[in-house]
Amino acid sequence: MVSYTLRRLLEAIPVILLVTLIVFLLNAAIPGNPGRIRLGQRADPASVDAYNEARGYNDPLPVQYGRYLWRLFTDFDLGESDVKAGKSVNEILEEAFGVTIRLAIFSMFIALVVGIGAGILSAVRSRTWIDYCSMLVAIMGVSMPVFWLGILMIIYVAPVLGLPRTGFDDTDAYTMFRSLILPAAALGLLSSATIARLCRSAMLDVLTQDYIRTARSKGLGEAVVVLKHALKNAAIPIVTVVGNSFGYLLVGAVLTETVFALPGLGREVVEAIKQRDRELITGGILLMSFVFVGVNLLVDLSYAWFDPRVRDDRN
Amino acid sequence: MTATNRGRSPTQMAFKRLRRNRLAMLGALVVMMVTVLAFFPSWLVPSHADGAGPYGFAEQFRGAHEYQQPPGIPGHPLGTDELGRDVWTRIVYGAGISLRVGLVGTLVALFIGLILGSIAGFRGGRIDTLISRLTDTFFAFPSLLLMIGILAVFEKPNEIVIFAALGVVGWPGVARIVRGQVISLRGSEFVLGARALGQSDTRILIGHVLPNCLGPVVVVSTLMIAGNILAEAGLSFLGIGLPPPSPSWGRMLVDSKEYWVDMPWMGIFPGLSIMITVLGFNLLGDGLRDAFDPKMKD
Repeated sequence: MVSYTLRRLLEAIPVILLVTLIVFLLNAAIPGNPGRIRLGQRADPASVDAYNEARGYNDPLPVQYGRYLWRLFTDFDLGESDVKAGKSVNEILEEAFGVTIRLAIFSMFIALVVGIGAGILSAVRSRTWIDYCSMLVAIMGVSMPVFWLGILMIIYVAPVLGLPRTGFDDTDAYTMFRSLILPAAALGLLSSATIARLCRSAMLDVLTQDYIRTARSKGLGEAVVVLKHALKNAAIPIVTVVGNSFGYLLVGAVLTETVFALPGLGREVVEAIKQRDRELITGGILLMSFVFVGVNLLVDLSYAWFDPRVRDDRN
Repeated sequence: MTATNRGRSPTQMAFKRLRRNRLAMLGALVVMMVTVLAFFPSWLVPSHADGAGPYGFAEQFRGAHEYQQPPGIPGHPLGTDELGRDVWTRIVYGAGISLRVGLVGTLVALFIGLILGSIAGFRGGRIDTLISRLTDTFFAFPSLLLMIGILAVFEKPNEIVIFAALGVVGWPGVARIVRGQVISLRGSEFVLGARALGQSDTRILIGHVLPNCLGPVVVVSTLMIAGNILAEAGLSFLGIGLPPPSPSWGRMLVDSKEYWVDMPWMGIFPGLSIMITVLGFNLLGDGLRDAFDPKMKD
């Protein structure tokens, strides 16, 4: 396990370096003169030039990339916002990421409960109307844009439950919960569709195996057979899809935040694009990509943890 | 070849299985309907584009009594929007955008992915490592954010930019599948046979190996069309996709943002169109996957 972990970590290094290179090139390609954006249209050319010179925007690209990497890996400094006066990108993203990660974790919880529940139920009641209905709902969920489910909830669910339609209120835990529940439900229910489909097929594979018949013939109750014997062995594909859905949730969070007007990372990046705030745009993308790489790494490691064959070097 | 299989290729057998799958056929029906909307919008909506091209909606501006009207008023089966435009007309023209973006974005991804994936799988060695690392890198980006980054580079994105962005984000998925398929076919007997006949690598790859990857590639492409339609809708919804007045379904949703609660039809029908279209491609793609899966027998 240790050598497998080390190998996976080593493999991640070139990927991370290439990610930073692509993000840096995007940054350099975004049009607009940073000094002009920061100092305004009326600033005299000399001070715009001085601003760009001081921040190194006039240096050759390889030099800029070197400095970018150095800042990034010495103290994860993502630079300074070109638009929000004097604020560092780290500060802005830290605040916004807090909202996004809360939304993602809350939705993950909903997705897991609904997805695994529906998946197990469909597998156990395979080829009954329960199975057909939940799988039909699941494939509709896979096809539904998260922002549209959000709109439907704003129109029809929010007034019925007396919840705020949009906005984020973090004065205390209760108001925060109230402002996050609809976005999290929209995002979580859609992710549960993928989890339910996979969980069903993983459980169906396991439920037809001999040891399940043995367990039943020993006289074990159906609940013990399904939840203890079968679910444990169906866990590997489920863990993978859960890890992958977390990445999907982070992306879906970007869209969900826009529908519900939550001040999360996605909304910051989208606003930054409209204002041509290039450090903020690429900082947000880089942060999300690092989280994504980290989550994928954890998924791979957990895969190897559950299934020793994966970490066998001979394969 | 045994006598029982005479006259039926594996592909024909797969299509026979596909035809028996009711959900997949439903998906195919939806896909056909959307295609008709996309190619012949004037069959379904009164001509309104006099001299202004399909995106000129001048003809749809009506008197004040026809602004923001609910579905069912004469001439506007799905109501009118915040500017008095007919929602049904815009949805019909939006089908063209969705289908184009879905198809062309997928073709771009297929083009890059097929080339890189087959080279990586067929050559192996260093070039394989290089291409595989590149694939991993693109997988490391959350796809929507990478597209946002690419679109940020362009002042006013048009459809070509969106095609390219979808291709850049989509190719790694194709490359990974093609590489795996090529590796598994590389050592097969018909490849050795072709090599013994003295055929060149390119000819073996194009003539013998790639045609045998067709099944998985068709499946992944169908599902990718669905994903691309969703992605375009999402980008337009964020306001960084196609600029107004293009009747992109995602754009229609975000433009009517202030009216969702009081005039819900503006927020419902474009989203419903997205869902039905994507559902159609997903059902068809799932059906194709089941049909081409060799584990499933007649």
